Amino acid sequence: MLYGKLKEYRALITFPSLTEALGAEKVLNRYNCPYASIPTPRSLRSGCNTAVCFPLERKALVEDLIDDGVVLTGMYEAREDGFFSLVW
Amino acid sequence: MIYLDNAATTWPKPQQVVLAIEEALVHKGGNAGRGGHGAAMQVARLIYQTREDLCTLFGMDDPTRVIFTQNATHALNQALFGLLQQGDHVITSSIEHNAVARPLWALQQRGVEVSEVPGISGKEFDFDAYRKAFRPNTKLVVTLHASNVTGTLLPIQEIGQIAHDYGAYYLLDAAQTAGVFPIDMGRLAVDLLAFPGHKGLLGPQGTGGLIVKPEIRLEPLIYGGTGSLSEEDRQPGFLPDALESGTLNGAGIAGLGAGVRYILKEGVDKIRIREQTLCQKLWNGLREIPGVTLYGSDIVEQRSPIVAFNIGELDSVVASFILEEKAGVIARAGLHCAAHAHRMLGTLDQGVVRFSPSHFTSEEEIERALLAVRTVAEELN
Repeated sequence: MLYGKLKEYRALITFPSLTEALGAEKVLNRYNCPYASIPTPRSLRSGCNTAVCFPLERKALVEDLIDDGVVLTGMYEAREDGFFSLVW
Repeated sequence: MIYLDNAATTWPKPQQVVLAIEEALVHKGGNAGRGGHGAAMQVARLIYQTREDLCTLFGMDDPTRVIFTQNATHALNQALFGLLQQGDHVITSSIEHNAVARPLWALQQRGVEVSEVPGISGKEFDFDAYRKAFRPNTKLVVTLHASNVTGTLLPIQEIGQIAHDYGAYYLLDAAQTAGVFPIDMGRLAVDLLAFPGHKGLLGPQGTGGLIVKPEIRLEPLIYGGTGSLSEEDRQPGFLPDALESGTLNGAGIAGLGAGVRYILKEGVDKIRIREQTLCQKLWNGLREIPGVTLYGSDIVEQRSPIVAFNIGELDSVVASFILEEKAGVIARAGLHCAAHAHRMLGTLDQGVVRFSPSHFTSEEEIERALLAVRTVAEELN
């Protein structure tokens, strides 16, 4: 089930710790990318219970996040039928 | 009150610090990392911002390697007990604060070998003795940046470089210098930096931290909830969570961040030069008072902003008491939790009176403090 802004944004990234999620927020802010911090979906359980979603059309920003040193545990496209590894 | 004990804790704090703490307490609820709700995230973002600001100040680029602690002592204990094991060897200086001397004594009881580079009052750091102290099992060198008794600065660039030449890590205790002297971990051979939040960084008491360079793994000092990997009994291995069990001092860390941003805006050099100018005025004035003995280097640039002295044979604690009673001058007397340094100075019995101004101290306050010392010295004679 999709919830919150995930229903709209559809790109989802997960993290080992909250500190990494907060770092991702900073980078997305810098790129003027809208985002929302939401509970990590149970099926994608990672170290951190907070995940970040943002518009799918801006999925290439994942590269900028990684370049900036943010550590991710996963990146997904959220669909009604589940989460799929993000590709671009 | 003329507050001249900024080496113990700075006061007053910038208004921005007070407002940041108020903002956190009044408007930002929640416990960072405990739940993903908005209240917790608000505080988590404040804490993260402080990590970033500390990275900017100390020349690091990874906020996850900034570990928050209660104070510098806690940070030093985390570094020492987290790194050293039975059979390891550690080298330290002869002017350390008890924040280093006591954990090292405790570690010695557990089979860690400890060497102290001998020091002589008034002499430069003995590099020959330092080099000779290294052994095949030397894992760490730990020194303070500046003595909390006399303000004497150690040559940390060279000490760190030599530690690296021998394959050892260098842990720097910046209790007296963080926020006042430039400390660029990107350039210095410093692997671990312990700092208090409530001294030169102008934050509230109950804050401090340890910055750990990449590739260094520390065993936690305490274990517990981190808000991450909650389903596992094993402590998370990643930073900062591995070393930050339990609720952080969110409001305090918000205040610390405001202090760091104030320093970044004002400039470390401007703050230090102001404090050194006041120390020069103190030194020059005290030197003129008959019966006053000064300790440490007479070159103000070679000291953190501290002036240590005694009035005749008067017990330093009594001298300090009289200065407060008669003139409202607040000074720290006694041994300053640093018996090693006093042993070297030969002041274990009398202690010393320590004046440590901040950049908020006025010239007039310095003059009134000098007058108070003169009055006590004259009455003693």
